[in-house]
Amino acid sequence: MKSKHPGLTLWQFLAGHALTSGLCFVLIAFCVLSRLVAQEPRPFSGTGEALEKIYSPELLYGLRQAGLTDLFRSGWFIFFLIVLVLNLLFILVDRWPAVWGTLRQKAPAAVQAAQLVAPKRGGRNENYLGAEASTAIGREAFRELVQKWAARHRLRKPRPIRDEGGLTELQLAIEEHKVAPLLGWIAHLAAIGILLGVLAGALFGFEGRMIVEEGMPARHLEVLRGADPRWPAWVQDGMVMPGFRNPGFEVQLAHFDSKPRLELRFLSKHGVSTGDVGVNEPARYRGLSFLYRSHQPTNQPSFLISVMEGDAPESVRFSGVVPGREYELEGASFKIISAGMDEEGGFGPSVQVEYREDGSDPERFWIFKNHPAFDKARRKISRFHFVYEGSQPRMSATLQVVRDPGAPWVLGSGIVFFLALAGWAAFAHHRYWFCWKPSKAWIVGASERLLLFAPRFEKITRELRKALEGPSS
Amino acid sequence: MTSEVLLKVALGGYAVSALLSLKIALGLGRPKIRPGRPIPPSPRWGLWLATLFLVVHTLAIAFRWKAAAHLPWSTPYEHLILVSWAIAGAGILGEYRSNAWGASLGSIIAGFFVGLFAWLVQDHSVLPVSPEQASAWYWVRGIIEAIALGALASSGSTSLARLLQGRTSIESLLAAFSALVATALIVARGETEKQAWVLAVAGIWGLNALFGYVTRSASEPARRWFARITQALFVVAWLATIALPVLSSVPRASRLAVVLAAALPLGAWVIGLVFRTDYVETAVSGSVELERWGYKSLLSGITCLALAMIAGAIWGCLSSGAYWSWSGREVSILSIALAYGIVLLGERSARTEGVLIATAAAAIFALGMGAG
Repeated sequence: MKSKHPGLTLWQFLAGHALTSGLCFVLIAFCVLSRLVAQEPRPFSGTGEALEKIYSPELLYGLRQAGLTDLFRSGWFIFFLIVLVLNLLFILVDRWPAVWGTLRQKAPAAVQAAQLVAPKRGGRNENYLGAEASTAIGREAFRELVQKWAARHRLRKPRPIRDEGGLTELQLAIEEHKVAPLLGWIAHLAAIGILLGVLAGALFGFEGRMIVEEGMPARHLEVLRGADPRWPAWVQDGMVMPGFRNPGFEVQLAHFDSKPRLELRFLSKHGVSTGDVGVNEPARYRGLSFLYRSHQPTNQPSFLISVMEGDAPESVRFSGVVPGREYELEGASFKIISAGMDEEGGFGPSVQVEYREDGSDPERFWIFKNHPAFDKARRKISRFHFVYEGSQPRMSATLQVVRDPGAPWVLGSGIVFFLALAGWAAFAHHRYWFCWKPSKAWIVGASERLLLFAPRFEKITRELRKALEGPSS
Repeated sequence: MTSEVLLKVALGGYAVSALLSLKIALGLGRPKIRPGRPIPPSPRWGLWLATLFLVVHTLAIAFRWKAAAHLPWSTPYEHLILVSWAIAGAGILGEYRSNAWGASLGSIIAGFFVGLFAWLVQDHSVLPVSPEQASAWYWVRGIIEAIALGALASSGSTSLARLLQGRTSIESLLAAFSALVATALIVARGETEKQAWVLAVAGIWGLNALFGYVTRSASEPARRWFARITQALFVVAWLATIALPVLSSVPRASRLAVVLAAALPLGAWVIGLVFRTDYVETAVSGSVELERWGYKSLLSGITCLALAMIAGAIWGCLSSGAYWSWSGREVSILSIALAYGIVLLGERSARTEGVLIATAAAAIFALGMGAG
């Protein structure tokens, strides 16, 4: 059976903008649906209400089963994105010969001027305008006239595409912005780049959370979406902690100020590095972005301890000292065991210190805020003496940890897309043909954007007709 | 406070100038044509007044800027006021550039509704910027997005003007306006269980308008059938509108919408009887210039929207770690970009009726998504 539309092949369908439009309609439907059906709140977004409060349990179950509460991660959505990528790929392949041909050719092919006097639709996206005038000027005068006109309008020099001399037809052509179709082609390519970047982010991206307490290194990541398969599960006290991973590095809160701004220290077997984190200023470490989310004081204080070696006048100050963590000194170490309240007797707040010199047993003692010389007076033979200078609230910061391998692709392709689109919107591929025969001349124009080209064409027609008919009249 | 007063004045001014432009569009205020003399141009009071109130609107934004001590598009209220300004401004610019009567009418009405929506629904408080908003990319996105939406609305408005030119009846036009008024007010105050009923009535009026339009465009014998359907829809819409306040406990504001939805087509019908204006006259002159402006604003709007989305993506990467987070605003902007993208794909060298309808539909869709 013969097809009603023999020209419409599968290739044309796949490489057609009709399919693109249809897919855009589908994506719009997804967007509208996402505004009608409440979506699962995203981590860290701070917006969105728990769906359990919005819908009844039965309805919510149904919506979740249908994938309507997480539309943009549903299989259907990803399927349509993949089809869109394929459609754009077909368009790229289909259009490339025409784009390359336009770029490569030095001058457009000759036209049958007589047939193009009346407006006529050309090939895909191409329209012609034509005008004719009677003239008495000669061949060379016509050539000179066109060259002058082109120079006045800052166009390229007209190229002869049919010039056999004598009284035969002379046809000159000028091409303008022939890079425009290439820009349109690049915009399609960039759109593919964006979509592939989105896909890469969805498949290989990771989002998690780290809570870093002042003085305590954080060594595990709470996984919220995706994970690196190389990261082992987080094991604590012999128990596997579900939802947590060990990324192989630890993060310390090196410094905190009230802006808020955090200085982080990253430690791994590869070494130590630091990074600043502030609002809108993420830190980067081993392909991960660390973003500031919040900070808050914990119930536990941290302490400021000064350590003096022998009778040296200078002391080393340890700020943010937290109970239970061992701090290294030269040939010794110490840790805070417990803290005491401001007791009667004028001693003030106190901390119990466990001190150990290398090769000796640990010793425990108390130091008091109101008696800085207490330790030196009591433990005269020790190498190091401790002074308790005060305490402060211990801060805890929540960091969002993100890795999106598609982000550079999306942003890079987005910028290329914008530049190509802007170029394509600003310039259109115009072509002019100037044909001469004894006593007759034609001007033909072609553009992929005839609506905007028409006034310009009318203007040049007016100008040239005046010049052509002038001598005879 | 000064800013709010100026904004109120500007919105009132837009409403008056829209009515004046509509009056010319309906052919009611045209100078008489005398035999043997050239046709005198209509006074463009609507356009001139809209220009004046655009200046007032600009002043309102400037005062808001002074009061907030930061660029005034950080809250939804401020952003909508800026979008309203851009829509009205692009429409007015389009009418001056294309020299086509009525080109700005749709934009001014849209600007008025966006401003009204901001005024009625959003919180007017001046708020300090959040730490995340203190980024150049955020401000760039806001202003470019507003310009893009203004340009796209202007493209939709010119398409609507071309579509309505000499082809629609006053009843259909005002039935569409009724549907718009009812929907806008319901969206503004729509926290009610009965809003679905009210929206259904607005939908019937919308259908009535659509069939009215199609009736004028259709050829015989389809015209007779379309005319019958339109008349039947008119009766159904009327009955539903009148029955609605009685049958359901709609809130006060929605009742106002219902009254307006009922009164406007009735008024239009009376006007039609008295003035015998069967069709909207050819108020939109200079069609080719208008089409060019529509096409140019479509191209520039799409390009600006792409730039705004890129600026938003960069800001998103810095502030939330994700270039795209599928927030309500992002989804709306994406869907608007896709809708106009479809128009651009369908656009060829000439603006066919299909393209005009698609552009107008995209503009109405954009308004709906923005309000939603």
